[in-house]
Amino acid sequence: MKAPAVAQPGRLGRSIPWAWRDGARLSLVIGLTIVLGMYVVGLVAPLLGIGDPLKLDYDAALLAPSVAHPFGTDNLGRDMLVRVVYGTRVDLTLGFVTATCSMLLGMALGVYAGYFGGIRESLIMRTVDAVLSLPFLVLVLAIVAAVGPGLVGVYVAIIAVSWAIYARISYAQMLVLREKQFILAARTLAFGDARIVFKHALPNIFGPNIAWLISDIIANILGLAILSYLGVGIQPPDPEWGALIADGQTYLRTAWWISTIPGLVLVVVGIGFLLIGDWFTTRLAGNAVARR
Amino acid sequence: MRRYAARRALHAVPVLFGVTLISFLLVHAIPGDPIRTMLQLHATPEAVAYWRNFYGLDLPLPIQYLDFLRRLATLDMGQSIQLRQFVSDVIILRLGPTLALILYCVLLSLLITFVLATVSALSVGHWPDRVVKVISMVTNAMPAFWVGLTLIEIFCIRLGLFPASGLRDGLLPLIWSLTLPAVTVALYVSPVLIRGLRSTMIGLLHADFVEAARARGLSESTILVRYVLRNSLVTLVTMVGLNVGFLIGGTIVVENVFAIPGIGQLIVNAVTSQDFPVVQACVLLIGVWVVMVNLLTDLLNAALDPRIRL
Amino acid sequence: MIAHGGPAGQPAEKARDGVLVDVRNLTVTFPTPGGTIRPVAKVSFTVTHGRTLGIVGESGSGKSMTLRAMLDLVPPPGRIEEGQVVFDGRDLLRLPEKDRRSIRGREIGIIFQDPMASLNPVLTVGDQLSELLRAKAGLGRRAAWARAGELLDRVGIRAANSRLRSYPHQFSGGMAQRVMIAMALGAGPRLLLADEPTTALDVSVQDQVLALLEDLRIETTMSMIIVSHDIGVIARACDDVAVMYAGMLLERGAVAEVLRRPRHPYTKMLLSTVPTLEPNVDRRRLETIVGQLPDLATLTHGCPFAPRCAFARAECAALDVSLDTEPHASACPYV
Repeated sequence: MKAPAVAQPGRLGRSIPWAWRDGARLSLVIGLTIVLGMYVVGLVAPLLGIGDPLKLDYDAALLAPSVAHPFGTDNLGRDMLVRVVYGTRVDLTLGFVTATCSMLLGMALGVYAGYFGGIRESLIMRTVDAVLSLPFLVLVLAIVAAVGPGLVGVYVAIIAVSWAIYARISYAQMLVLREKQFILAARTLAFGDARIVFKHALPNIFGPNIAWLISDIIANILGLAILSYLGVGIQPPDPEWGALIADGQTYLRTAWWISTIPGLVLVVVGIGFLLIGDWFTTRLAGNAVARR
Repeated sequence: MRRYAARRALHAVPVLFGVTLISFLLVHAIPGDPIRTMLQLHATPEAVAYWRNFYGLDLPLPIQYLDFLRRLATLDMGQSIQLRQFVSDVIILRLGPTLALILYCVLLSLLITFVLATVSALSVGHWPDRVVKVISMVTNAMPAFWVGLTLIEIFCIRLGLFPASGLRDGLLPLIWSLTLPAVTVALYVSPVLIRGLRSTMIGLLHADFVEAARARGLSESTILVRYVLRNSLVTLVTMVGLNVGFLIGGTIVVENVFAIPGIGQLIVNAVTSQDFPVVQACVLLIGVWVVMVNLLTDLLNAALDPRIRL
Repeated sequence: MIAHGGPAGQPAEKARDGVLVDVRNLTVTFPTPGGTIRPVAKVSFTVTHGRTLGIVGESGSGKSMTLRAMLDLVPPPGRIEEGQVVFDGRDLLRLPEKDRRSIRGREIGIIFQDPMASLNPVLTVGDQLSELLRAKAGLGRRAAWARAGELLDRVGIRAANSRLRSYPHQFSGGMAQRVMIAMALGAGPRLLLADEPTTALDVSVQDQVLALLEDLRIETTMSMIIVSHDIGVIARACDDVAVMYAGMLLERGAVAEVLRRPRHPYTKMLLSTVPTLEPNVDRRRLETIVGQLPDLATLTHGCPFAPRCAFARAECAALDVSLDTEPHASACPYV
């Protein structure tokens, strides 16, 4: 997807590398580097042999950041860098998986409601209204209470709540598209409903959904972090950024790095997604103008 | 105006019912036997019988729901399994701190938003605008609880200016102990509000009626206050209404960071111990708050903008 | 403000008698991606006490911008490149902003094309009127409110006192324009600028508003500048007329004179396009002027109308466009 950023030899200064051609694309490149870079590192971590996130070492407890332990150690002597890297796997995977599942589920329901109308529409959209009327965290907490604390509970809870916005976005798009010429044309040509929906409607609906997806990923990651911090997300001793922050709360005075560094990592990842999202919405708006 | 208020209040009723429905259905989201899951170690035969009767799980769903509503009318939400008290009693104790915190947060957010958005809008393209934008973007990416902890670290531990946890008695100590939590939530919620208000104000600065006012020779300060700011209030109120969910979410988290004995701490404890009656009651309570806030913002907007009352 | 400084105070030549406003070489520039354009180019005219000047031209000819430039209200990134606007012996463009602001609304009033868009939607009409009266006529709160009611009554709004408590969106277009007129007149200005005052109104209401303006003019002996693309409006309401095209004035003179014996080719063609109910005139075809307004970015030298002019000749492309010194002036030396 990314072309190598190479300037033509012999024409230095006249040919701008692909990555820097404009501010928006720069945002994309930086954002993707941050996000994908971290994720890839997290995924291959076991192969890199950087250490064991669960390994206890009481002699090395509460050490400040140093060359041996770049992020310091926690109260049980576990290396924070290793824990943060392994936490990447948990957090980013959850972000991608829950957001994508929510989007697919929400799109399906929203398009269905918008295309067919009638009682199916009312039922689905009133459910969406109900789900969206309560704060995200509250509903997620309630569902985690029902299903049980733990990572599985968090996955279920987040998907069970997040789909609603995608449904609303897709529904609104579908309403607009329903009246558009090419849908009406397809109908008069007696194409089957499914084919109309898939081939003609969906491509136009993806745009706003993906725009939301990008900010949803980081929102879900933050959701997991919050839940783990509160003790109802990932269960100890598995590493996850929010849980790490919780671990460090009692040691704020003596070992600030345990809480602060995972938080900074979250912020950096958040900014990464923000940059990607900015690029995408700019591009989407540009396309909309161009299409007119 | 009164007719508009009545109409709006009427619209809120079905939404309230929707909230009660969600709260009611929660128990049924529990996989397996809800009663045993809920009671876990406390599952004595008497307790199981009591709760099975209370929830009426053998009865058809609609009847259960009506029963639920009937009990709600008398504020009977059952008993907390963990605390062995009536849920309604537990909640009443914890309402105060949370409401105080929410009020403080809202006021602080409005203040921050108003000031920064105005500064930003008046200096588009120059450095104050850029600074505000960058701060907003960075703060937006920060999780609330981490911000809270960082603030604790700086202002409590290193500088000793504020208490790190808990609530103090007396009005001034109360405000003092709620300040850091309120600032945390305000930082969490403000970026979105600032972005919206700023863009509205920029649009207004060049609106036709503002240009006409300048052409009439009114002073810039009059124009700023009575023409630009006054017309952007509606946007601000609307945005607060839209983001009340975030506000409440932030409050819940912050109560746990700063150990404030409010609804936020209550609901998290209840979730951890799977104490469903309490969870149910909290969900219901918060749902009602959101509906009330939305009603309030709509009415406020109607008061601010005469065109809405049509 | 003005692009470069100039002498403030007395103009170079002696102030002509009876002249209220003397606009000289007013030029506005606007940077665009295609180059710098001049929506107003060396426009000069005078308005005598008690008389009304009409500025007529197609949309985009720079008429509205001229009015705005007179009050130094050109929206950025445009700016006033050069020129003088001598009002009452003082050059408005070189005054401190404070003085200019005091003149706006008090000695010079202005009404705009879309009255609904010119009023603050969240304040009552009474609030806006009395706010102006307190600021510009020095009235106290109660006196201002009472005077506001009188003004509304004067401009023909019935039940004026209860109307004071109404909001702009509750008025019709015609009534809103009356409110604007009331606001413009509130502090007793000596000059009223009207930017397309009837364009946004229904035809029947146009007539009423023009009649109102005429009444007020006679009553207060104030001068007016009315900008419109509608020759009928100018013919009815003005004493003198100036014809504008692509930012330049092409003809100027008394209304009756210019309409009956137009000198400039553009004016001739403009007048020939007006449908008429005169007898013995072939009414089967509506005349139009061939072509379109030039793109201001591509204007170079010479007469801007030359490409569309039936009388154009080679010299027109190098012509230095300016009005001659006759009472009925034209910028075309060849026709």
